[in-house]
Amino acid sequence: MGQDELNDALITIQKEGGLNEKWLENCVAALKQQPENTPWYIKAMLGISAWLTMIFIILFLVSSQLVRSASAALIFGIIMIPLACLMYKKSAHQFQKQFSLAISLTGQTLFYIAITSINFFSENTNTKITISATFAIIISIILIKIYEDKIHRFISTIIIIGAMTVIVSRLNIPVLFNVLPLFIGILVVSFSSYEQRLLQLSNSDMLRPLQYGLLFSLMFILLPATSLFTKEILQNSHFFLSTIGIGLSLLYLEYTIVKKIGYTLFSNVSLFIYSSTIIFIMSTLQAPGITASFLVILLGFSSGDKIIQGTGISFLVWYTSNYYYFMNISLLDKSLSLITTGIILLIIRYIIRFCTRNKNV
Amino acid sequence: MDYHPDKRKLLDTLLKNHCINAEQYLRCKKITRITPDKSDWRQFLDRFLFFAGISLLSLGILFFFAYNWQDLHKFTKFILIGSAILGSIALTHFKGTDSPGGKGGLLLASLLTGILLAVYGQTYQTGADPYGLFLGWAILILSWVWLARLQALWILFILLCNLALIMYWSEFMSTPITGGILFSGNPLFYRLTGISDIKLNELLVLFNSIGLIIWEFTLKKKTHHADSRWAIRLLATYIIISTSQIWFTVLFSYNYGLQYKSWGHVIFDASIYTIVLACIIMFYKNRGRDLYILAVSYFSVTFAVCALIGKGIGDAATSFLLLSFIAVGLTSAFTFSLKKTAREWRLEDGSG
Repeated sequence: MGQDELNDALITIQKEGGLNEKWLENCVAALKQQPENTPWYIKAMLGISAWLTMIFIILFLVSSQLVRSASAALIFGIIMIPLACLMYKKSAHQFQKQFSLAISLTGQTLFYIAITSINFFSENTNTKITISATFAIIISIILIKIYEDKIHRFISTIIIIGAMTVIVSRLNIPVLFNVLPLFIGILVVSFSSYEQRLLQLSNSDMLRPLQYGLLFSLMFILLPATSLFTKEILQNSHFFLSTIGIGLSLLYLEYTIVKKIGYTLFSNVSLFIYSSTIIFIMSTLQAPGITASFLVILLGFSSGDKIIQGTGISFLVWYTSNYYYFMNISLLDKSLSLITTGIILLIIRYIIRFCTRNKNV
Repeated sequence: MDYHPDKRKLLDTLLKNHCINAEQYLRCKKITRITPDKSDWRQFLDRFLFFAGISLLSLGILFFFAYNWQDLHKFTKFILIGSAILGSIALTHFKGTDSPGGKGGLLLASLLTGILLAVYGQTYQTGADPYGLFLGWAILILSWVWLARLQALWILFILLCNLALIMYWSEFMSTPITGGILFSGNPLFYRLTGISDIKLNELLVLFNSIGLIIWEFTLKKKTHHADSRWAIRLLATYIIISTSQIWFTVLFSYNYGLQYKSWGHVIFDASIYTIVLACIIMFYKNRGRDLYILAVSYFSVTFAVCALIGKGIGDAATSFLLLSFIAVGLTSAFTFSLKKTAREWRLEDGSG
């Protein structure tokens, strides 16, 4: 299985690098101390359970009238967040870790709601919400550093992106909303490109949850761009700007991939890939979700992560279905658009196969 | 098996502990094929472009016929669908039922059979009961389902049988449930979930459980690889959800005006949940060895216990505080149990 393959790889590296037996022994010892792999569904169960517990705690605080006002909620929030961090640091059992996660989420929820309700900073609702969102970003960044739980870091990342979305929407400049996908796209691609450097500076316990959090956030903040929400929520949002932003991230990712597998920037293969991508981006200008999903699938495949791949594929199906279903054209035009796109993809596939067969690229 | 250490995570551990440097990390990733090489990328692009291209092309053709559907003569419609079915069967014949192409052909033929029956019903307006469509569809494709040995087709078959049962029951056997049960106003949702009809739910649980038992015991290769058990896991998840619905309906039925004839009936329904979950947990812990199904079962038990305790305690504040501890406690206990079980299986398999 995985460990056996890795042991063989380590032996190969030992022989290639002329390393001694001690090096190999250290590696094997470190692998033996590796904590057990927790499947995704158990993590999902833990996460959902934490949210459920959070809801119960909030209901308890409200129904017992311990939290009767915004001030009380603020005090409880200020106490619960550091308390949760302490509890987690000292926790030896799963129960303590779970409970501290729930306490942290409850404390944060109370804190942000309190900031939005009290008139301490301002009486204007918009301003209060913006300040609450700013606090959410600052607190979440601090918690990512000090609260070392992966699920908590994942949730904190989503909170950060969510808060940024709230701030952008409160500024009432819809065009600014499109900067977020570009920002997230560049971040996730950079994570992948500079992975080994970041891993040595930090560790994967921080990076992986951040990566997952960013990818999930990217998929969800593009939901308003589907026709389900466009008319009601955001008007004149110029979603093509999001597509261009994500498209640039996609081109950057492709550049890092072709470089890794040995092609130069201006080789025939590279130019073919970039031009196909540009055509793809232009054809889905009003549907940034499709471009983003493709970015996520590529990222998932390049890092060998099936969860990211699966997420990308699921969202690709969703966004593509929405795009074609709600396009404001007749069924006949939709069918021609689908047929044309399908044929173009098959032609690209044929060209790749033909070039590969003839030039053995 | 999905509880084995991930190669990438193992590598991250080595890097984190400074056992290897960045260059060695990259080299390991290449040797263990975590990072795809040129041929992997070519294969990925080839498959992705193929499936995306075929899907969009097929949908486009479908939309084209949908656009012109009203203008087509009824015999043209039947000939078109019939030809597509024959084409799919021909593909299976030439490719063989063991190849992916052959299995795909049978899947397509099965789906098109349903479309043919629907078009027939639409064209001739026979006034037949809706359950007949699904039952007829299931019977007609049974031989293909058997031949294909494809999990997706088995799921389709079970889905059709469920729909036939729900349609038949809701038309001939049930009385409308009044009251505030969520979704009871939506007949389709009511039919699909049986949320407000305990007897229907019991029947669905029985039918699907028999299906799951037969499926588990007729598997030729006992494999626990996640990819090959997705259909069984889907079925088991549905059974657990249906059984949980019985539990929640029993607990909260008096709130929503459901009529129970006797306490015996209440105990019987509550026992169904206990017995079904106990059987699932015992089987999949000792023999079936499926961590996912165990996780879903434990999750259901957590909700069920919370619901029972929440209902039993009158004071809201006490109830919520207790529930928070119970939710965390149960989840922690079950997570510990799942990890312990996974460790035991790993040791028994000799790979730990």
